[in-house]
Amino acid sequence: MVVLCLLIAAGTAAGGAEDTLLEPEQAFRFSARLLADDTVEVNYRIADGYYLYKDRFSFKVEPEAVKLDSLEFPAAQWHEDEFFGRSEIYRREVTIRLHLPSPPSGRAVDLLAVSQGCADIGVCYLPTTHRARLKAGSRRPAGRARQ
Amino acid sequence: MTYLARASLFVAVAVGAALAGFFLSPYAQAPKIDTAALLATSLPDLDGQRRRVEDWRGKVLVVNFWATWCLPCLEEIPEFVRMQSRLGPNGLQFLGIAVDQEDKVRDFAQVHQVNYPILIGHAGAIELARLAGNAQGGLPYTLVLDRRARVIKTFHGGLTEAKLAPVIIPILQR
Repeated sequence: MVVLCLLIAAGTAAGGAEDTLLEPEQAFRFSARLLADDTVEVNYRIADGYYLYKDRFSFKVEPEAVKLDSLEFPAAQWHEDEFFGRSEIYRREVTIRLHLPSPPSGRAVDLLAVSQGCADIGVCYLPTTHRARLKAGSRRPAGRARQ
Repeated sequence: MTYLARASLFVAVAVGAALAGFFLSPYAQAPKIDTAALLATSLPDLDGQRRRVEDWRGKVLVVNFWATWCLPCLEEIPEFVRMQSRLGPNGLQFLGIAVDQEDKVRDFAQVHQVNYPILIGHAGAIELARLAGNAQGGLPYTLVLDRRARVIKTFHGGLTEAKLAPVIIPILQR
């Protein structure tokens, strides 16, 4: 009888897929840090069942006088569908390195990182912009999000 | 303990467990839906005419928040087009609210011959989707309203006719 009652309770509590859908900040955990004065490392930890599109990342630095000139992406997984064709996606984690050809020399810079991803249950999130303040000499990961 | 007492105890415990399950479940904290805000929303359609969601009161209305960058959104639209053709004469009306740019929406609608109105909400429409009960802001997000503009059901994620029809058909027959 106890087992039956537990099944009834579990059945009542079980909701649809939407009940387990994470907030985007939980699904895609962002951080960024200066690896060296001319190198920024951006990291996203991606929850199980979620993914980020490689071609939807974009990065910008403020002040704009500090340029970004190259991005190093790790190998991605291929994903194919009838609408977008072949797309590259990341699961679990992705770490991207950005090169600053003219380092800010002691001044703080703001990194703006745009990403967009989805959940396997068939839900996609709007592109999210994360901002991280980076300063030479401070190698602690930083980052917060804004839509 | 008599059979009757055991049966009564069984029923009491089962009902208690079911109630506990409900109140501990996400349904107990179901997101609020600001139906009035949704109905009063005025956005331009693909002809540039401002339309209010309320304009379709009297129909069984399926309001679908979507975007062209969202794969599950695109996958469900051909099914919506087929359902609109078949059940439109019975009072079914799909309405797309695009959380996207007008040019991209227009191109998609032409290529895929979307046969129902689409309102252009740009990225800001996601706030309307949140007001309409979509707390996490994911897409697609779909609401079914009856002919009196009451929200009957909401869906997060991609839909198929098999999931939508059992909700819509009984409302159309009322």
